[in-house]
Amino acid sequence: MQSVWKKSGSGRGKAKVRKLFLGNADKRGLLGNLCVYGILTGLGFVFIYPFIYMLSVSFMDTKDLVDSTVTWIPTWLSVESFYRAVHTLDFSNAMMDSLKMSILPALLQSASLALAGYGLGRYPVPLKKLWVALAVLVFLIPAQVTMIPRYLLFNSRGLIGTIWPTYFISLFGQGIKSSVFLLVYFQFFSTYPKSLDEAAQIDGAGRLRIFCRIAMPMAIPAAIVCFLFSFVWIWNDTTQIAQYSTGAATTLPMRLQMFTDRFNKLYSSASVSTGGALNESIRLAGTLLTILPLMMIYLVLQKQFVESIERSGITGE
Amino acid sequence: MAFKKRKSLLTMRRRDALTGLLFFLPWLVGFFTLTAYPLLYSIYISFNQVVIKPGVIMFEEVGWAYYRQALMSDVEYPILLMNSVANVLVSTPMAVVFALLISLLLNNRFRGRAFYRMIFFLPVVIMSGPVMSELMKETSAMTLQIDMFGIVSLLRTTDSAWTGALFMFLNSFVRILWFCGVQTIIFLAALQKIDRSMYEAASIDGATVWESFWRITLPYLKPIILLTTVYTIIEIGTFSDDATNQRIVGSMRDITKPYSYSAALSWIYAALLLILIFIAFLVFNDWKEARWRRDAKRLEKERKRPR
Repeated sequence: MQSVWKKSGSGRGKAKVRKLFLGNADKRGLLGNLCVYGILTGLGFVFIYPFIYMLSVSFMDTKDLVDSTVTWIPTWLSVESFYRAVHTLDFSNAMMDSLKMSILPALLQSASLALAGYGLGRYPVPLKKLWVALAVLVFLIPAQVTMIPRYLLFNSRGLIGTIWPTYFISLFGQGIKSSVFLLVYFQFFSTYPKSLDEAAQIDGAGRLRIFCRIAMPMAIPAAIVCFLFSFVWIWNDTTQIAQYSTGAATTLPMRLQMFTDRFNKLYSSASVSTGGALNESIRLAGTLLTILPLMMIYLVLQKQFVESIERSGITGE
Repeated sequence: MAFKKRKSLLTMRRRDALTGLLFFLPWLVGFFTLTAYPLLYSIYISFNQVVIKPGVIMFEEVGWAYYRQALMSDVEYPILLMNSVANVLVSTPMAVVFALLISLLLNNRFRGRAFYRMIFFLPVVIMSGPVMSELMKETSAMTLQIDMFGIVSLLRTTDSAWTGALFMFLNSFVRILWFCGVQTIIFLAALQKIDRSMYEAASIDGATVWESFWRITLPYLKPIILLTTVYTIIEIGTFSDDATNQRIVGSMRDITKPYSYSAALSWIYAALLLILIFIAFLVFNDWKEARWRRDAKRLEKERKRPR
């Protein structure tokens, strides 16, 4: 009798322990949680490893860089590298150029693609399937092939070396990966309830007014995706601006591209002998400064970035 | 009366089509002038020699000469091309698999989910060609410096093709992972749409988590895998620090053969990428569902015919 009690008691205890570690149908146990957290933290570390490295190295001075006992934590926070990197990048001008080349084009692109997606999704446009198929096809063909003819086209209009090519490309919705955004809008506008439009029409609203007052406010998640990603992709793109707008605008990534040359020109051989040569610390400080604006935007708007993709219906229904 | 009503309906439909076309017009104009025309024009250029004289640009037809030159007599280009394609071939499956893995983990409910999601998506926002090449160049920012129990240093002393491949993998590991942010979110969005009750039904029938992953999650995700694979191929293949792309841009203003040679180079690369995409399509397309749909359509037609 006693042994039975004991047995069931220890059995219950075992079950409890088992539940704690392995969990049950409703709740994951400690072990499962540990697994999930472990793998995610490991992968997360791999993801931000370059940032940690950049932060650590860019605060080092020349002495720390060659000191083999210093690997992660600098002996003191030296801002010398940042000072030189800001100078080499010509940071404030570069920032202005970057903003000029990305904010307005991103706005233009999201507006013109909204119009196109609305027209395509809401109205019976002839050859609708063909346009959608062409948009997908254009996405599949690498953008490099259109570079030369576009260059010749802008050149014949005397627009090379001005900021306008990027603006035109965005205004007509042909920017980087614009097909994706067109499809997002198309998807959105072909699934939203048309009865709202019809109600407004009965109330006497014109078609443009319906678009501005009813359709567009509902499409804000799609518009946010389009704007944010256009912005980031235009900001990070160097090929297009370097090809069409040399001299008119030199964005931050472009300046990072010619960092070494600029540095050597600014700090000529005189200072090299005194330990002022270009080193890893200065280069990484420059890289960090280049991505800093984007990182700040991302920290503020990360929810919009991530969640809007989920909500935009990019995965189809 | 009935006739009149029908006519007015028709004009209504026409008016709708016209309005739609008006909304769609900016994109259409842009598509023809800035995308379709340049596409065809660059094919044309690649078969012609461009002669630039003051004020005019003339073309002389050369046939496949530039393509032959790129593949046969260019010392550099075929190697760059092979490297780029190999890079895409190796990186794409890894990026997709890691994106799937991360999204499966993130799909669980646990504290700090948003924080992890933020980390995994960060590279998408800050990744640009110059930043990438700065990080890859000379510095060890993109290579993990962790020597697990001395295994890596032990391997480094042995020298074989396998360890070489392993180091290539380790060195580009972070870089490849950085390419899977968007795909992770796409997977995550798709996972959240799978009906929970399917898993419940499976578990009542005695399926383990492992089994329901292979029998429910993966089949459901198949079209999404195709989508992300294609996206990854494009993303990695056309990234601006890729050596082939840099060569294409660099040879644009080649004095002896301006524009044409670069156009030929870009089309060769584009063709290879399209072949890769096509292979991905063959592998991941849901043939069963396509056949099922086709059959359904045929049945529908047959049912309508007798009437």
